[in-house]
Amino acid sequence: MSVCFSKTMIKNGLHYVHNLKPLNKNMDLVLEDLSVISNHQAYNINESKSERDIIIDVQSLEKKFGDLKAVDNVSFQIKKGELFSLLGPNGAGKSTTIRMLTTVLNPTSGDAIIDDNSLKKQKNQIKSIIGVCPQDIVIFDVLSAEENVRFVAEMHGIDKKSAREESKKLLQLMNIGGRKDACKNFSGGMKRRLNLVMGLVHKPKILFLDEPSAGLDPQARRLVWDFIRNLKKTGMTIILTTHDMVEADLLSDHIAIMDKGKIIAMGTPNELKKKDMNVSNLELEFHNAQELNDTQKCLKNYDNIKNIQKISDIKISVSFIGGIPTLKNEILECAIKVKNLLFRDPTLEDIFLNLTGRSLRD
Amino acid sequence: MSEVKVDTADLSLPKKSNFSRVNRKAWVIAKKNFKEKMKNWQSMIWTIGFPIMMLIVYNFIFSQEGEEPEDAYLANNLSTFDIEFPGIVVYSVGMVLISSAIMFAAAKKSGTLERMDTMPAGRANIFMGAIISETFFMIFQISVIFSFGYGILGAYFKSWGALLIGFFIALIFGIGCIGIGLLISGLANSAESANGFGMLVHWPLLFLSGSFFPFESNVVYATPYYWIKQVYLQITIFGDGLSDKLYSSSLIGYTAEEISITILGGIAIIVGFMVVFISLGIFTFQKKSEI
Repeated sequence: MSVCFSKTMIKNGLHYVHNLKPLNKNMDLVLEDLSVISNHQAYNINESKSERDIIIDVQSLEKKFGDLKAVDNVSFQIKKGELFSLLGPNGAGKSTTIRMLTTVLNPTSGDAIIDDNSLKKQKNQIKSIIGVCPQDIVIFDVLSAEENVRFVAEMHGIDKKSAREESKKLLQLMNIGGRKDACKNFSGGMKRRLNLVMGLVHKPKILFLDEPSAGLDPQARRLVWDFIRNLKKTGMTIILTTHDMVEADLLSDHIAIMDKGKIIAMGTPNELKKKDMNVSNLELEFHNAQELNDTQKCLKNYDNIKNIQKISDIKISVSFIGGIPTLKNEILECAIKVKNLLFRDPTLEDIFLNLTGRSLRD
Repeated sequence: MSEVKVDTADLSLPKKSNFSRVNRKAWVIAKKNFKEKMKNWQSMIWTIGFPIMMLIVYNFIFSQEGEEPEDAYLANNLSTFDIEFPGIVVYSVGMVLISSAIMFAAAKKSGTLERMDTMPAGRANIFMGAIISETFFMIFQISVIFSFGYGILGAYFKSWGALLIGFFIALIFGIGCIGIGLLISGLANSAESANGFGMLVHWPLLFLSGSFFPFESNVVYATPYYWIKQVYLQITIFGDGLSDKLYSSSLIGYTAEEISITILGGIAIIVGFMVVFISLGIFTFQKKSEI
């Protein structure tokens, strides 16, 4: 797939949403090194969420489809201007939660207060302050890009003239401004950009992004991430669903990890990673598959080994309780012959694995 | 950059349900729907091109003036084509049943309905928008059929006034058909199945109502199509008034008999049909798409 978001587009997007002065050179968005981005996410653990700052307060939300509890008693709060991610595997209940918060699904029980409006009683008020970018591309494909965006703008009460102007500007920023033909002729990347513009044209207070980088190539994904970060700089509250732990780790202020309809962990990325401090992670690379299988079989006999995850035919990841010295006996007993050994910090994938015994990709 | 002007009147909606109020957003939706319809050439061929083709075929086959004694209706030098023309109008307007079923089912399937559900409009505006756009499309469609049938092929009509009344009666019937379309789309899972269900309703009704061919049976009275065809035919071709009695569906044959219901009664049945099916259609669609 071709690259969807150009760097110029991201810079322009920043300028657009800031709606203020000419582009500052310091805002030049060269793709940062991952570690630098992680440092940006340093979060004050002691910071409390004052009630005044809370824009979304989800209270015991539940959704049943027949006997299946798709969302089970979920509660969380989101502060103004925060980027909050719902992370979990497919079928965890992320999209169902988002669909309830965007007023599309009626909760079976529970409520959410969104910018002082009850989800149960004040749907129209909520609809007027949210923007939605669905996971699937949802556009009116016989209409032009501008007609699509203008329609959304007018539906949000923006007058015709302003709707036309704003649509043109946003489409120019997204490099699809010149196209007058029906968007069924657009490439997949262009349609995805239009899908996002349709969620943004009315400058919502809260933006819901459902798997925004799904199906994009790595380069395009990074550019989408930059675009989202820039939207966040405008003060917009963003709720993101993803099953991509890197995406959640890089972008989020707070993450709620969901599995089987429940939130199983919640906090900042750093808080989550520190959650299980006495669990260490080791990556072992072997010379051949036989060595890997023998070691895997042997390590399974030990209680302090929490998880063994196969990365490739000759590589496994081992989560165990305690530090490296505690593993001495196991290493001697199993006569591990490793080619490479890497002791690494826990990732969100490890956290999920330790909490559920399953990988996010399962 | 200029400030975006927001119509705050639209945003300060009463704190009521999703179905609370119809406002100008119904027009925004109608405008969008109408544009979509006019830009969809395949749909245009189906809803306008096909009826025109039927008119040409009917004109070719039935435009000869009859000489057989049983052709009682030919008293005023009317051809079978003249008498069949109301049936073609019923067929053409009734097509909205299929096209609206497809439109709603496609919106449900493609996620555009869900996207509209996240906008501050509500289902009432979505339904009203669809009814408005389909009505405008029908006006366009009926105008094309009339221009072609009456203007070019020379189908007979009693007077311009009668034709105008016929036009509005056809429109009311068409709005009722949108209701059937809504009902079908509420039950159908995709545009394809909505198309199939639509055909399954439209074509049998055309034949059972005697719209295409005379049909001697009480079954005709159970079809909404009979009433529109009969009322339209007697007003536009015979210039009958509201108090005149309707004829059985064999009017186009020599066995035509008066029935006890007047043309005014027929119009009331058509209006009733519209109200019942629009209500039933909205109720079913809302029920089936509410999650």
